Amino acid sequence: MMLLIIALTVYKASGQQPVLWTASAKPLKDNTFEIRLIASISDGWYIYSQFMGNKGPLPTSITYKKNPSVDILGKVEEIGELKQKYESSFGIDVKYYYNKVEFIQQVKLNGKLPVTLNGSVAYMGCNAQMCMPPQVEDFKVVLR
Amino acid sequence: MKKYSSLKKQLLVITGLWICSIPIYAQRSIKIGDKAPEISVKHWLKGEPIKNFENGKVYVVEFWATWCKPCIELMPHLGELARQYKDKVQVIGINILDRTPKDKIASFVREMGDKIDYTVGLDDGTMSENWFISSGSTGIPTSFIVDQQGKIAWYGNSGLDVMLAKVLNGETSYDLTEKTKPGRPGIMRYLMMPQSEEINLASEKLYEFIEKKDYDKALAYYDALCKDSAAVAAGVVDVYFEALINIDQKKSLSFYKNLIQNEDRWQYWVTWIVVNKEGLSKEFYLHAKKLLEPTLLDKSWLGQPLLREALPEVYFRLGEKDKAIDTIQDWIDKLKQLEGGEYMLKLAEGRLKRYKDSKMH
Repeated sequence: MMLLIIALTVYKASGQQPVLWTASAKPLKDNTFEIRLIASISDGWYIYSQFMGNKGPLPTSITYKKNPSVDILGKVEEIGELKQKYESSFGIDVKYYYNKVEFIQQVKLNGKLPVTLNGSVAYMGCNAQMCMPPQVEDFKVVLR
Repeated sequence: MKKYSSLKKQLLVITGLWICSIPIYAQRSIKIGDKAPEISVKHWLKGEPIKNFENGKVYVVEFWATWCKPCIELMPHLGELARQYKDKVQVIGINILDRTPKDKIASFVREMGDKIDYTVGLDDGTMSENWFISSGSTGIPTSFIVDQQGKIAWYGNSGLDVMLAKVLNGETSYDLTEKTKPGRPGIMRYLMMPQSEEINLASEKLYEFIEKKDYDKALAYYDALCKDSAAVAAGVVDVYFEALINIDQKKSLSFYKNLIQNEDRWQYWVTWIVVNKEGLSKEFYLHAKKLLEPTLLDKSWLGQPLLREALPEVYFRLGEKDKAIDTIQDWIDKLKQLEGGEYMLKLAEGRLKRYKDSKMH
């Protein structure tokens, strides 16, 4: 599934849109689905991890809209090559990803298929010269 | 932040439908050679307050935020420029798009001490829109040079030193043919975003009504939302549409048309609902086709696999069986080459079989 999405997300490094998001859902067993939200990040750019303090840059955050047919199981897991270092500009340890990071959420279906699950991701991206202001993108996945 | 142009308002009234849910993003745009927008600051955090641009003086208006490392790194250099051109140039740092509380921003500026050696102000919300977004800027730090006549001489992320020297020497020639760049909805979306908890609740409520087939209640609930908060209503447009299409095809068609015309962020998802709904009038699918055909050329679109199935389905529903088969076959071929595509492949092959088995010619 992962390969599938990446192969579809053809993009060029671009100051206008340095981060592209792709969402997909994959059935596991026992009415459980895995929602995978992938950030494809242009060369030289990075986005921050979900797991940072309030000070300094905005951590990535993902919210799923409540849906009576779906239970959200646990927290959003993130998979990527995590970088971490102390940043004197902010006085904190920053955690961030280059190239690609995946945010994975397991959900359980308690209604009938298909179900559309809505979410949004808030994030900001930077390179050595500039940062994009924090912004929000909506996404949806269809469990089917 | 709830802005509607009167023209759009009129158009919506003419079509007999009021969509409260479509905010109109960044209408204005500015370009090099234009009169600089106003300085509009909530609080001055350092230096002498600047009310307006004096004739004969050059200004550097620098946009920054506490979350921006490159901005913070640039600050000492801006101080150097301010000292170098002391009598000719006024440097103004404007904090924008920062959710950090005011007192924290103030203490940040204080702690930076001599590293910020120029005037600093806090945007009141209008400068981020009238300068940053209206100029089509996408990131910070972004510097604007305002010339001796109060016009924008230049703006950008790099090359400030060179351009400032040119402006001071009177060497600039404005290219007035430069096209204006539109503002970015994504950024506005951040500014306008209501607490997502409110959207969660609204969405949950609407889904509850839909599950019970209480469509009228869903519509009434949405209408009330529109009056209370257009921004929350804008977050649940798609769910509202699911209710609407079940009871009023005519109204949902004009709603759908308006979504597409306004490039609403839900237009593709509403299209997915349309495509998978039986028994709609042909017009729905014609609009869907017009939207989807060019979209599929843009490979960057989020959630694209669904659209790969949506377009063939639209062709099929319009009776264009050959095109439906071609496009779904193309998608199947792509899926076959990809590891992990089995599940999607099964769904796509199901559609292909249905198209081939149909008696349509």
